[in-house]
Amino acid sequence: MSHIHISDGVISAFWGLGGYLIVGLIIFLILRKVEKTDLKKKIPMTGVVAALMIVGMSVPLGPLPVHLSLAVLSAIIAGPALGFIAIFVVNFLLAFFGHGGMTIVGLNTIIIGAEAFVGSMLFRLLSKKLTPFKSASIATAIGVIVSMTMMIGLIGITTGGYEVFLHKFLDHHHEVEHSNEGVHQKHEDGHLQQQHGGEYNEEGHDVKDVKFLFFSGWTAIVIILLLGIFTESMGTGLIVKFFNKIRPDITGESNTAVTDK
Amino acid sequence: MHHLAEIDNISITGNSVIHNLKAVSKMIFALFILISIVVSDSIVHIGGIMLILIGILVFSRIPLKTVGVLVLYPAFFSLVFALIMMQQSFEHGLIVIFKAVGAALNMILLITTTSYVDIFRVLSLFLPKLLVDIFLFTYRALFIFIDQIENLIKSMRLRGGYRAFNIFANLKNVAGAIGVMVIHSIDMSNRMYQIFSLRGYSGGIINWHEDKKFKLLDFLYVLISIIILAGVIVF
Repeated sequence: MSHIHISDGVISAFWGLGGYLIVGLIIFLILRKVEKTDLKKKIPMTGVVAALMIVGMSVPLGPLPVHLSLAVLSAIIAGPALGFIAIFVVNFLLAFFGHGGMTIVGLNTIIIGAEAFVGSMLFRLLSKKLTPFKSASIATAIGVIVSMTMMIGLIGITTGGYEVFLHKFLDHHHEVEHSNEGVHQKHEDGHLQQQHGGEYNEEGHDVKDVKFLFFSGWTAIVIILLLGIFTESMGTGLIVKFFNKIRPDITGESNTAVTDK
Repeated sequence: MHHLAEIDNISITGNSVIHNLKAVSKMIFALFILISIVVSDSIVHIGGIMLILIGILVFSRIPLKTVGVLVLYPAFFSLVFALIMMQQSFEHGLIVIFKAVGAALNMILLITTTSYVDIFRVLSLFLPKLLVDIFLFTYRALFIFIDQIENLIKSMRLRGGYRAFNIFANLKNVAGAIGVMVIHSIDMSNRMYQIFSLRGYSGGIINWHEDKKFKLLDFLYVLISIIILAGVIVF
């Protein structure tokens, strides 16, 4: 879900290029390892897992404005290394549909790859003590939080989003001060207020405009993000639970002592 | 994801001048146009490029309804970033949306006029063989899965397993459907590997070969993109 899929033009092309270089290096190292080991037999499976991610995204989940990404599940099935390649392939193919920018494929891959890596590693760790459902759900939730944090951080750094947030916060703070200090102060700063006020009121576009069900603004955004984490973690947990009942070997859980009821 | 099958059909069965151009020239065109959109900070420039792209799409007889639906994705996703930028100025926000939609139109033009296999073939020139193989396996598996998941969801709906407002039940049933698909897919991938191994597979399904010569129209197509890029940089 963390793949809000940053579009072309949002982030400077230099960042995009940097993302490609890092991903290129990681993929080069992974493929070198694949060629030397018997991981080559997992190449078709990597393609299958990538296809699964794309198909998983198209499954409707009712009124939710989010969809499954199955990045952590892919890394659990194919392993974090091949899972990373599958994520690159998915991002690249989706970029052809405008679902994420072509220049941002590298950065999107790093963000979702981090989610898959953290999630799959945590799953390995947690599944020794918890049931597959719980371990997969918790691991996925943490993975998604990591990738979301990375994405927000990246957008903040590259688009000057922090400045906007800071600016907004200071503006709000300023207004509160005004109301406390009285009418005279308000007149003195009239020019400054008009400048900012004109910008917001004239154009009328703000994060406040974002609406979901009965909520609006940041509340709506936070609810959508929480719903995304919930959907992804529950979805992955339930799929892993299903595997554990039918084919525990898929997630490498055949020897796990703790099982779901 | 039925758009994928539709696009695949359009790119393979389409018979326009653009469809008949070489994949390399179309990919170079897409690259230069993408650079033009990314480097430009003018609504007029990006708007102009979008008009040219729409013109080529119409000329190539690509259904604009399909294009419109696909363009909705980047328009929607860029809206979040555009709202942030609009707090600096309205124009900044609009440029973000224009860039996202323009870049998407550019990529859609490429995939609706060039088959994926041709694109992979060009990519095999500079990407590792194994990576191109994964692209191909993904592409192949996608069409198998699209049919499977559509049938599974149809069966779920018929049996009352999918209710619009029962999110948890939906998730549980969808997880089961995806689980079945994964199990099938893993068996399928193992079988696929065995078949490929028997045929001597050691990486590299697609090999670069060019059966068509670079014609005048290919040069012209690339030239248009160079002129657009130069225009964006100079003006």
